[in-house]
Amino acid sequence: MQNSKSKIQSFIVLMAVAFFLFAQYWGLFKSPPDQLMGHVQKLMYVHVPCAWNAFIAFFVVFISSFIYLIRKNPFWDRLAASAAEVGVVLTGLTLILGSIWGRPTWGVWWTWDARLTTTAILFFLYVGYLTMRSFVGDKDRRARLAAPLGVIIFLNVPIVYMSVRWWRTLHQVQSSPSTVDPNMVLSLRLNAFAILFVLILFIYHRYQIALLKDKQEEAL
Amino acid sequence: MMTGTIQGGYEFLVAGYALTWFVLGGYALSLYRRYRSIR
Repeated sequence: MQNSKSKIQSFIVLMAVAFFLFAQYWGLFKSPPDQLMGHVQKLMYVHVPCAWNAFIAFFVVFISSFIYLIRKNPFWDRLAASAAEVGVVLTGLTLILGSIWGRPTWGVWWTWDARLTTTAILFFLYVGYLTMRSFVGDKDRRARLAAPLGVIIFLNVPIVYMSVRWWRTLHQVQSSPSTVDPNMVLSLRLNAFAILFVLILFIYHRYQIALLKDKQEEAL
Repeated sequence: MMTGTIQGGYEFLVAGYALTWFVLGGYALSLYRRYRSIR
């Protein structure tokens, strides 16, 4: 039974990796260059899906933390912690990819633009959330402290999303299938789903680690 | 010749995609190693 479960998990991981590689290939080689940005625009197929999926991860943190506050079930705390860690990885990647994209298009690696600044704040808020968790040894106390924080810091996510409309920014407005050229929509969607599958797998496996850790702590 | 389109820039494209694979692959590896060390 355990063996067949492990085989199914391996198969799902392989499928996700194959889909990810296919989406990356499609974005790099099958999508047309942009009229103004040329081939550099293809960075959108990694930068934007990473940002979207980081938002999804932080939404999971928000919902899980909120439910934990009501139910006090450790499942929700473990899920919040797992999603926060994966969200931090994706937000860090979004920032670095944005910097790499910004250099040839804006002429700078970094500028204190509203979108960039609010995203950097988002990154450090969740790094702070994870740091706070790592400092508290007792898991019940850790969960009680982390849950309200997981709810409150989510407030920055809509600010990041709307920053390009609320302030005059160098960053373009939100990229979505409705705002990009129809020839680029398929690549954007493929990569968004590819990174969504990666996100789900990462959260699932990070959750398994948290679960094993909790079981070990209880056994001591 | 100035055409209004950014010419080249392949080094940025390669750097961006390579970094994505490196970070996601590295994180996957870290999850695997942490899982193995706990089990």
